[in-house]
Amino acid sequence: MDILNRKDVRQKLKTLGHSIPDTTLFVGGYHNTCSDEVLIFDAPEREDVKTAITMIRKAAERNALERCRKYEDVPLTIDSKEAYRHCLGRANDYMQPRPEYNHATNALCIVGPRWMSKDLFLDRRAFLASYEPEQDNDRADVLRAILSAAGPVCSGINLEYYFGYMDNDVYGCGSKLPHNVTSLVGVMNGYQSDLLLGLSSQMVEIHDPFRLMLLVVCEKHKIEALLEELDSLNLLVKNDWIHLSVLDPKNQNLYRYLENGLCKQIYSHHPSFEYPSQHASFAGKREACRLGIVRK
Amino acid sequence: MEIILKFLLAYLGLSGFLKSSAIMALYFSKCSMRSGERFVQFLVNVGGTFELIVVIATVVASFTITFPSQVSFGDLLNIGSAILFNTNPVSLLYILVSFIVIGLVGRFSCFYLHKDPHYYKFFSLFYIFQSAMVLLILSDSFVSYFVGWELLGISSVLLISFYSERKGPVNNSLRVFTLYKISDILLFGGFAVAFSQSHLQLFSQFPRAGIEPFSIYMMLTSLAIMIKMGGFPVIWLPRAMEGPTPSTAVFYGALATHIPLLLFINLWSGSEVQSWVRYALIGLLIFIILKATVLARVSTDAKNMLAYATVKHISIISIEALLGLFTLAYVHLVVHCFYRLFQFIRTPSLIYEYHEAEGFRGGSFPEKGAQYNRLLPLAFRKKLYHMALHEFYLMPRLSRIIDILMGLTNRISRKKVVQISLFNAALLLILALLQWYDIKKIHPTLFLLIPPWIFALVALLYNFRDWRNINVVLLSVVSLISIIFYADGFIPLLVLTLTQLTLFSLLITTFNLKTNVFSSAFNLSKKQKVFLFIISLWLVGVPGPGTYYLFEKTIHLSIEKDLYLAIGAFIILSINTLSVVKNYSLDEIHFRRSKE
Repeated sequence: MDILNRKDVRQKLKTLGHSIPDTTLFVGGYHNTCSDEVLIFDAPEREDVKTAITMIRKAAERNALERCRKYEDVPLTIDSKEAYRHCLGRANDYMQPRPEYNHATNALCIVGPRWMSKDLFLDRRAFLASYEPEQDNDRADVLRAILSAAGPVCSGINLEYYFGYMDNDVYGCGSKLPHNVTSLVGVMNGYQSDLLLGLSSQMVEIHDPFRLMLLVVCEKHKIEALLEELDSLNLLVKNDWIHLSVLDPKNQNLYRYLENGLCKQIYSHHPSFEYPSQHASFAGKREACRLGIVRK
Repeated sequence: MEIILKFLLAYLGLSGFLKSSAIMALYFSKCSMRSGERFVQFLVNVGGTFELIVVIATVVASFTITFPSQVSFGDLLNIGSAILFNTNPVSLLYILVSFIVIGLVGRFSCFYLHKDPHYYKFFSLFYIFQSAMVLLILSDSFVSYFVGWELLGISSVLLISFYSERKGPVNNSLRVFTLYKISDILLFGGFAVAFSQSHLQLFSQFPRAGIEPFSIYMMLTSLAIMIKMGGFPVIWLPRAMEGPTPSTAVFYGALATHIPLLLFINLWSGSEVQSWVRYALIGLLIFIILKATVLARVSTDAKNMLAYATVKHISIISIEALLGLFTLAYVHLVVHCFYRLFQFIRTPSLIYEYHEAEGFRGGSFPEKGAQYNRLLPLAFRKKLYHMALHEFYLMPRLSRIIDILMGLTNRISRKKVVQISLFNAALLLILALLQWYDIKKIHPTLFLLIPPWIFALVALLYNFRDWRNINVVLLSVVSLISIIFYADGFIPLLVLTLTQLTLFSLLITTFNLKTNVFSSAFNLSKKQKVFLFIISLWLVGVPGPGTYYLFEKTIHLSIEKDLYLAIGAFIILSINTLSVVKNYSLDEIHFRRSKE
């Protein structure tokens, strides 16, 4: 990371057409999503960097708190600091077959500007890919890059959980408890079996088997062009492996992909559900929460 | 003082049974899974802590106060011999070790098995195992030791078939159970031989002299222990790796393979046996060690490799005991027990750990066993590898034989079952005639075993559906017990046998053996099946009436030197136990399929 902070490197990059502003600083870090531990490498001793790191750590703690409500052995009354400590211990626990629930309960992927999903309570169900439709060119190069990666990846994760939940013995690997590590590459069941694929029953037990809803914020004609162009996305959408919705930022129209292409949908501009604060949205609940807007 | 000690030891022995029956009651009650789990956690935490306190108090007391080296519980069940517990330092040390291990693994499993559909099954078997451990470590009398031995076998076998909805665990559990039963028969045979010669019922009363039947007893008992520890007649221990990780760890990594060895060391310490037994056993153990080494190097997965390593190490400990290094063997056993337990518990996170370790190291670990490449020629290595991949063709062949016997691969037809039964009856008749000719007794006793033997064979070989074989099994047991108890003359016995045969033919006509009807009157729910299984196992096997009557009779029969009847009766009871367990395990799969 230090390499991009060097002046000569930035100078050279500028000549190649990649301009990095002088106010930008690169700091290396590692977020362990299982323990919610954030490691920052060689951070410079600066006040704003320290504030940023504190904020990131605080966000990780809050994330830990949101994750902890799904664990049955954690009381619902804990605060974010305790939750962080719990997740840290849980990730390194031999007797814990559920160190994390990974992407379980995922249902949504939003490709759009981040300000649009601000203050939304999504209950850890959404993949968020940042995309500014105004900054994209007419050929939608940025969107193509995002969708060609996000579409297959998110739908792959979603379908893995979907099928792992629907038939865990066939598309998943069954219970984790009798697994036997073989050749340090995979697991089999007990004394001898085939190599097992897929997710274990401990990972998918809280999942709700939905097909992924992919919401893209862009002009209608751009996505129609991309659907023709990108085979990987087209096959997924056309064969109902994922649902596709498009929100046109110009006229605020919502389209949904049905059998005969993108059809206009009628929707209410008012939020369906409101929460007084972020914490209030899930506090004291183990089951799935309604998605809604958080009013500060 | 003795009263308190008696109370404490009785508590240690009974707490496992009490906890197990409480958990079984929970299974049959309509309690919700969540509150049930909480109750089990309470039992594990509070009960485990209390037991550990009791054990530590006993150990501390044994160093400070002088108390009797043996505690007698009197003739509790009127079995004929008193239940005696040893309280020497070695037994107390092993009690401490096993309670630490059981407490740790119990607490581990509370979380590990959370939300598992077989939660109660695991813990009820686990606590039966705890009581078996206490009996195995402390008992001085044959009978209570044997009860512990059998309970250890049945609990570990039912934990191998823990995931009874899959076929692999069930098959492997039945294979292991067959070997366990052979070990039981050997142990019983050893006891019966020793008892018939000198009327001994206690280990501590043993003459440490080189009389001839004594070395036969030593040989039989040692072989039984070697089967139990996983290395004889073939290395079967990897087949037992089917249960959840904590049960694998505590049974095959730690206690179930190690504690029988305690008797082995105790047997050989200070006894003057003819040296041929000792040398034969050392040779056998060296053979097992070499085999296990080669097999461990070939195996690719973590649990199998650890199982082979366990067999190898336990064999080394046995050799230490045979060579007379008893203190070393005792210490080695404890250390190895803890180390393997830890290794087995670690196996599920092995990939992650290697990933991390190799990351720190900056590369993969160096290859092991490179010295063999230089020592052995390539052709030999290739041949050895080929042989080792197929487990030297021994275990696959043995399991094939067991599969055919148990009807796991293909069903034996009715005609074949009848043929086998008739053949066996004829064989037994010839043996009985030989016996008659040999000892010129008033009545040939082996002749009496024909009806129970045939019933037992039919129940084992023929795959009945939906618990219909329990009738045949019960018929066999009833005829056995009636023969042992009430028949003192030839004519009453003949009448009895004929009555039983009539009953059997009645049974054939009632239940219609000819056709394989899958639906029958025995349409039971899952809980009812479990209940029926427990009851029938108790009736037929350990430590139920079957064993009790058998021991009672052994004690009386052996005085009249009728050893063969006692051993034959035990073999029949073993076969009956086998067929009960087989019927239950296979029925589980069948039940699941019909539900789907």
